[in-house]
Amino acid sequence: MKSKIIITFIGVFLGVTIFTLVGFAGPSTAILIPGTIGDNPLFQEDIKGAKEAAEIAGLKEPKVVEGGDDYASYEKKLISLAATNQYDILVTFTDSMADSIVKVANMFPEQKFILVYGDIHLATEEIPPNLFSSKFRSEDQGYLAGYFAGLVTKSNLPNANEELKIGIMMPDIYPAWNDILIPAYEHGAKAVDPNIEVIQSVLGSWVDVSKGAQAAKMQFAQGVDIILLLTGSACMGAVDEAKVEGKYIIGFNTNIIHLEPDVILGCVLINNREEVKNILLRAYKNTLPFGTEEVVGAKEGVVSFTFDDPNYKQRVPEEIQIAMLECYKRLQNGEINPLGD
Amino acid sequence: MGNNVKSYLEMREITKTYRTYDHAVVVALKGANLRVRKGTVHAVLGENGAGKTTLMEILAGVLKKDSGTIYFKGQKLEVENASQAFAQGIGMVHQRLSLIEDFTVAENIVLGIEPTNRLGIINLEQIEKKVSKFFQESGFALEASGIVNTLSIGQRQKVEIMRALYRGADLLILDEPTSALTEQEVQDLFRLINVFKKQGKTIIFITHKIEEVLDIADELTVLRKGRTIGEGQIKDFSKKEIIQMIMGEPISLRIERIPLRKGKILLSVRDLSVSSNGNLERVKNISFDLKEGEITAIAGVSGNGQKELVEAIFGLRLPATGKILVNSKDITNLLPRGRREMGISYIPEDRMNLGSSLKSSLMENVIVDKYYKPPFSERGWRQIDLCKKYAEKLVSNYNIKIPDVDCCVGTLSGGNIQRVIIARELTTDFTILIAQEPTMGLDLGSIKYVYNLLLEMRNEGKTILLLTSDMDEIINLSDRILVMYRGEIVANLDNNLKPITKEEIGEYMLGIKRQNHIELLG
Amino acid sequence: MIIPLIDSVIYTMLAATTPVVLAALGVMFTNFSGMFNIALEGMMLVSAFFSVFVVDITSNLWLGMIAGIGAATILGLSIFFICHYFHAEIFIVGMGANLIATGLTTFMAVQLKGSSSLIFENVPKLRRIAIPIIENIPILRGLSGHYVIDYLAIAISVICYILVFYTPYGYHLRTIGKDEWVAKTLGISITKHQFISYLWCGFLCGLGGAVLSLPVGVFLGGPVGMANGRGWLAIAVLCLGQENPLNILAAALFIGATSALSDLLQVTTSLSPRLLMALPFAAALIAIVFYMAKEHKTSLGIKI
Ligand SMILES: Nc1ncnc2c1ncn2[C@@H]1O[C@H](COP(=O)(O)OP(=O)(O)OP(=O)(O)O)[C@@H](O)[C@H]1O
Ligand SMILES: [Mg+2]
Repeated sequence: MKSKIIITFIGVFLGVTIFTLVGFAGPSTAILIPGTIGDNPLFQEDIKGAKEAAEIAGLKEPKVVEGGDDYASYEKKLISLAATNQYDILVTFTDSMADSIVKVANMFPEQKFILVYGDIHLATEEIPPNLFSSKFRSEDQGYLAGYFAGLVTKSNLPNANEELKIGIMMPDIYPAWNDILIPAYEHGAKAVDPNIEVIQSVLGSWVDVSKGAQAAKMQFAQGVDIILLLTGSACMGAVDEAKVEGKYIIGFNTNIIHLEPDVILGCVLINNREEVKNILLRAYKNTLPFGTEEVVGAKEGVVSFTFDDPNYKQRVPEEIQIAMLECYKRLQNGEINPLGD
Repeated sequence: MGNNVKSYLEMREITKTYRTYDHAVVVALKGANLRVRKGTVHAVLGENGAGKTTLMEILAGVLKKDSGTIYFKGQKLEVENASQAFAQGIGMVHQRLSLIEDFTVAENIVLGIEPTNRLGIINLEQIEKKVSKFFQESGFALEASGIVNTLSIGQRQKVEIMRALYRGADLLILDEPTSALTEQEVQDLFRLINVFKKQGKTIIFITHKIEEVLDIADELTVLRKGRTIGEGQIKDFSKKEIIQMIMGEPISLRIERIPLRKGKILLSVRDLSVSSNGNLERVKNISFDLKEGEITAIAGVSGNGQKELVEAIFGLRLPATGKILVNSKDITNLLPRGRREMGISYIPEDRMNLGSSLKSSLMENVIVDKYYKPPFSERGWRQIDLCKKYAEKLVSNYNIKIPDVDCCVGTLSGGNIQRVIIARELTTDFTILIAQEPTMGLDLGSIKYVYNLLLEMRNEGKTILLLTSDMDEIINLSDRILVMYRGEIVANLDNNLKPITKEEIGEYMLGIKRQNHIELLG
Repeated sequence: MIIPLIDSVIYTMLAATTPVVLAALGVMFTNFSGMFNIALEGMMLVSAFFSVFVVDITSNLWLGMIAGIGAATILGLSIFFICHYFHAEIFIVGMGANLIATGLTTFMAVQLKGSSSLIFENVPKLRRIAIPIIENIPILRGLSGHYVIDYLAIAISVICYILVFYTPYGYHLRTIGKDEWVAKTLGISITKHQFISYLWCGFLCGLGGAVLSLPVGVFLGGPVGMANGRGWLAIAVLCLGQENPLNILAAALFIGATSALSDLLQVTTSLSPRLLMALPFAAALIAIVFYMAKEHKTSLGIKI
């Protein structure tokens, strides 16, 4: 009886292993998603970009491996992908993978690696020759959002109040946000009026929607009339609260204006789909400078704003729209240093 | 068939097998018979584990029988649960008291049949009035609004009896009601029973005390190992014959106690005052010493501070003032484990809650005071095999009836639980034993065994503090008797100089007499 | 400036209290019956999922609420039956139920929309109900504008109080909680009451889960899930409130107040957000420690 169970287990185990190995055979690009694809629109865009690149280059569709919720397993998954020796290029994302990718790149010098929107300098001073890294200028995002928030809080939009206070809400604490994004947001706002004050809330959860609503309520009571929501679905509670209280919201990374057009006035965007596509196409043409790092932002058109959204065009006053375009141009030209001098 | 039954109650060929989750099987009843006539007091007797409680709980609907038939008032009786039995007029006062301690007396009495208004809401005041009235009509003095945990065991017993009567019981089952009662309380109870008898009620009475049987019962039934082995009229038997029937051999509780030379002081209590939970001062400035080779009894009507005194000595309650010294070391601030390590051993009165863990196995129960010490634990590892052997040794030494040592103690009969506690407390390296009702619920054979053990320990030079409601036990066993009245020691009597009589102690207990300071020093 | 802040502290406190007090009352019933249910987190999560899911299909909030309650009750009753018929250890089954709830809701969400977070557009959302006069009084204003379930939660606490202390049902339940043996000797059915207590727990946790998802029309799954530890806080609240539903309400309000305070201090001071986020949990822990110390002293007969 017992031996039967053991045999069944071994059978299932072997079956799964063989299935995964066979499943991996074929495409020459593999993508490791550090997290779940489902709740992250950014990752969904990344995958679309990679698929488009493969299509244009006439290659097989890239293999996508979802890391899941177990952070500790990402590195192991990356190693096993490299060890199969079946892919020419391995792609992964975010700061959190910087350490792992450098380590694995050193382990497998023959294998090529790409890290998108992750700061490789968190892990090493010397970029391994088989690794290419591309990083977004999140300060550009922060500055654009801050400038917009500043314009709105000073405007005579129906729900903008007298007080010069704007908010920012995030699900958790990250050094990259604290050191770059939030200061840039503040700078952007102060460029509109140096008296503007930024109030921030940390929810301590990515998914606790009620907490998002309650934190927003506190901010509104403090006199805040517009909040930038940094990713994390928990912040959705703030959208709802803003609707009830008659306040405004700025979205982050993806365009969410359609969810509540009266409340969400604009969103800072990153065009990661184009960026991933671009990088991979260059890699397929062997023009990608491995061993180096690229930093992209507003100048390259990767960071932008919902300038073309019909709701934005309809609801946001003409002069603010013009001022935003102006600001974006100056960012692109390098006339503005988003982190101040 | 039911028609030719003459008796008021007849139980025929009742069998009952207990099965526990770990599949141990205990056959408690193997075809027991019981016939009870209306308007009599019927004693059900038998050694520990004979099946008395099981038989009665089947009758009261708490347990289900495996087979057999019951006729009650000429009709076949089939009850699913206790409330159906109540509805038939069968009320039981259980060996293990079944009152909710933080409820009031009135709440406990109506529990399960609470009257409500049209909205389904209970009016407590009304209930208390109703219960008070019922108490008055039955000539019974008890505060209906009192909380049960402030009552003595005897009073609680009365509450249970009243509950059965309140529900209109015609047949009242009393399972060892007297084991924790003082003589006075027993007399009160008997008076009550006689009143019931006059009212035409029938009483089934379980006890291990033969004198009580001779006193109050009209008829008897004797069980042994789950079978009925004797029945008849009390007047047809002598005391000796009854004992012989119960135990299978003649037993006498007479013991030889030779006075010893006084040894050194082991425990001294100095100016001790203790308060109850309600902040009433229950022990007032008491001092005494316990010496080697001496059994000291504390006598007193229950509720005069004995409980609080013992709890303070063992560390279950912090004293308000005063000191407790063992071998001249101050232990006033030690926890119970620390006190055990100073050589104190304790047999508590409440065997179900304080004395044992009913949901743990016998093995766990007997090593609970020493599992952390070698040889039971070596370098932090428990020595399971050794613990088991140890437990098995105790089971055979103390004749505990249990299928194996992994069975949980809750499945044992009342007397057997008591044996487990005694086995644990006497099998340690103690020098001071606090024994509270040590023979509660034990059959004669076991009582004799415990008496001999206690004397043996005393002769080895240990000291024993004995608290018991049984006067004969005090007079037979103790070298010295302290009498407590209203939280103070009012008499210090030397039982070796000249034998003390029950009457003498009684006068001190009731506060009629009191020794002066010089006499108190002994 | 200060008045609106007080308003929103009171408002937030009440809002944060609702799911916790509902779950705590639910576990109170199971605690009375001697089958302590720790699967509150899981029951709230399935309710949060199914209520918003059904609202999305039917566009009817009441149906959604009923679906949430139903789902939580089914989960609760499965725990009850597994423990009752197979004599399984209640804590292990409860842990399992929590895990299953997380897995099941996340799985279904991913199947539905390809994401563990369901953000429904155009679903009807629970509306806030203003209390006519109070809504215009400063400070008291915080009492107005809550969801129907928030008001219900307070009413239910009072009803539970009456039920527990003034009805035969409550007496029987408390009897079982204090001593099953007594219940048995009086013919009070323990199994029946355990079953009913799980119905209660399902109903209350169901409401508590619905109030998380219905106001926003969103369900968020994943390893922690949108219940975000409220089920565990509820158990802490039960420790503080013991067997009195009104004390439980008070304890939950205390936890709600610390949560509101942590939000307030984040926006008004520069204290570390990390520290402030832990405030409700730390407060619960400290309160329990103090409570236990007090209990311990009373049991030793010390005056306090
Ligand atoms: N719940 C139970 N589970 C298993 N065995 C049990 C249970 N209750 C009693 N027994 C066993 O059944 C037998 C009869 O027990 P019972 O309680 O009827 O004895 P008793 O005659 O009342 O003894 P005592 O005088 O000690 O009270 C004992 O051997 C006991 O161990
Ligand atoms: Mg018995």
